[in-house]
Amino acid sequence: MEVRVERVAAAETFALRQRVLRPHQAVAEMALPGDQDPDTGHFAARAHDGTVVGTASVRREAPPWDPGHASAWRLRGMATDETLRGSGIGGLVLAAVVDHVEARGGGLLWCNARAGAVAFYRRGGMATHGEVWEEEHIGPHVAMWREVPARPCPTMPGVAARISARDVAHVARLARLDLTDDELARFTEQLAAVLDHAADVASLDTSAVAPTAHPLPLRNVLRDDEPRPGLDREEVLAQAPDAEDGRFKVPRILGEAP
Amino acid sequence: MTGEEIAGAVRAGRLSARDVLEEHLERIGGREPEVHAFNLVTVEDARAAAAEIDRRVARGQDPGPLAGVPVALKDNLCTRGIPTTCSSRILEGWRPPYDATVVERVRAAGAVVVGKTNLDEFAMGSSTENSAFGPTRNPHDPTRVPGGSSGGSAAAVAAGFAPVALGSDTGGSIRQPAALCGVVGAKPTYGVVSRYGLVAFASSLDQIGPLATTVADAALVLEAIAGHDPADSTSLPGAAPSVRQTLDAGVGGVRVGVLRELTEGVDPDVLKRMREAADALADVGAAVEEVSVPATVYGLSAYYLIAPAEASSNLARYDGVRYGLRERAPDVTAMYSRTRAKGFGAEVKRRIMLGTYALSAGYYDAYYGQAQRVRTLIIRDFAAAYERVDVLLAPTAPTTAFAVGAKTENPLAMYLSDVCTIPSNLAGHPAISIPFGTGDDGLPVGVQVLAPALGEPDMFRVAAALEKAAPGPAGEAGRGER
Repeated sequence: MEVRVERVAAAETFALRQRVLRPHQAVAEMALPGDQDPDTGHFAARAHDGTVVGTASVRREAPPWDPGHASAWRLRGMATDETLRGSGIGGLVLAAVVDHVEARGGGLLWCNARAGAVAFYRRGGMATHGEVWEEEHIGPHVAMWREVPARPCPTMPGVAARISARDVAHVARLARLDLTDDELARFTEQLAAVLDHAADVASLDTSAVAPTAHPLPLRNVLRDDEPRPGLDREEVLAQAPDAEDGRFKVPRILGEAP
Repeated sequence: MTGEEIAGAVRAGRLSARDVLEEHLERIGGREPEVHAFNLVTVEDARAAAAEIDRRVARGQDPGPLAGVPVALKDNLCTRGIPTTCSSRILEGWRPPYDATVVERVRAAGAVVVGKTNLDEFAMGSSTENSAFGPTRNPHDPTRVPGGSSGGSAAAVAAGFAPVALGSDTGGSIRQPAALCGVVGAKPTYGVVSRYGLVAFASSLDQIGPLATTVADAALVLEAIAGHDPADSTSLPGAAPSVRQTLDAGVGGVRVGVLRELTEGVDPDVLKRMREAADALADVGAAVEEVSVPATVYGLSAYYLIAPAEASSNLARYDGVRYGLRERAPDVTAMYSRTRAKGFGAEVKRRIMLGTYALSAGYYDAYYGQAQRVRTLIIRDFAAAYERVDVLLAPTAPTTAFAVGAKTENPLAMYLSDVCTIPSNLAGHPAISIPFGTGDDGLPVGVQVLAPALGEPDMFRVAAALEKAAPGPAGEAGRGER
């Protein structure tokens, strides 16, 4: 069966998760802390008619065995429609999760796996960690994990994942902006944060989508080339910092003879 | 009095434009020191304009649909001979040699310009704290921001300094401050209102629109400023959509979709009001359902690549040569760099840098090109939603007005204030914010009605129905002190 995996709002994943994973709870109880964090990704596999047949979420969270881990991601709510197990849907959803983590600098990806799903996660490159335990209402579980490497910008191989102070200084020169050292340090950090947020856009597969430069399909119009009065020269020059002989005046241009 | 009431009374000779103006100037005198809505109050020009309106009425002429109505203009709209600063040091003292088309049009309709309102520098911001001339305060609670970037226009209307104002909306800069100040604010379809004389920020997104205390006033002003203008190459040909005619037609049979993705990450008290608004529409005959527009989750990221990229190009013109500030330097390149370093504030520099980076060699496809493709996806998903419904409903902003200073050190947190408004700009669609009750903190909440391109008639009709259903008089706190 053909499915399409896409990033969705948290609530889109609730119904299937509740039915498959937590039938003892209500749909409204499916919301989790961190669902709305900008880095959290919720994914749904949709059948042709739009029905959600597979789900998963991933969020920044350190594993219980290494609570100080700075770049760990927890996989949660991995569910596949009962009637469609074994058709590869879970693998597609897991791939979208790994892709999401890769695009955000990678790190440790972990989950609490049901005993019955261990083989599935092993196929996704994950290994078990520690002992099996019994989860009330649900059954035996074991922690599983793998390392996900950071990825350079996917559409532009070779582009560094994070903007550096050197990049920022270069951009400031291009933009003709003198920056103080303090501004340079602050902008490097702030631009990196905004670009991290934009990683979800940079990592989308849009190979079949045409860009939109303007929202409406307007055609250029030409008018007859007839002389018309323009702005008053004196009025315009009166606003200039410096003017001479009816023209704008600027300081010396580099390389020119004095 | 609303703009409609003022114009009606002035046209009928029951009220003089002079008296209307003096009453508003008195209110400005009372609270402006606290609110700081204006960069400039044009007292003498306004008195001369009001006197001219009164003379025309005395001669038996009709000054037009905005006769004697005081209007406040965002200070990024060019006014000939009157300083236009964009709240930036780089344009301080600049007097444009021409009027924006919208300025000509409101004057031609009989309006009286009372002043130029404060904004985030070059309209870049969501709180009006990025002004070189100091922040504007929310009239409902001066410890809170008015939203932005048209915060001065929204505060001026909320404080009763003018019944109507003009703003510009690139990612929500009319609607978000309207919501936070408890007034109505509309962003028309891209191309409906001429941008000739609007200082450019992000040209594929910028659009001018009205702020007002009522939906009818917003419609009145929109009709006065809309329509083709040969001076703006993005202006739509043909007549502008008529919105006033169907304003009171009700919403029986209108299909309304609650936009699921834009309810994510919204404060519970704000969301509760939006749900009440949806219920209120259902009560008066609309068919309400929940609708998904999946690609809107990428709106914020795409916007913060596209808008800075276009801004970095548009703001290249501030180089100390033709107008505004110039810093002395031995050669022209050093003059450019020093002038721009001194003239621009932190947020403008940040966006110029971000945009220059997103457009620079090696990054263009990954960032700007990719964001433009996302824009196509958003337009496509909206089109699918509008096959099922006539208009969409969403919160205008994820929170009520936040405290002054709360987000100034964290640009990303500030950018998140625009998450609900940005998709309409990316699609070029119209959207309007209507006050709908208050949050748990007693501050105004705005609900947004979104429509497809040129869907203004339905959008205003639904907005008018929401206004009628809104709990308590909208913006009561601000008006109570008038």
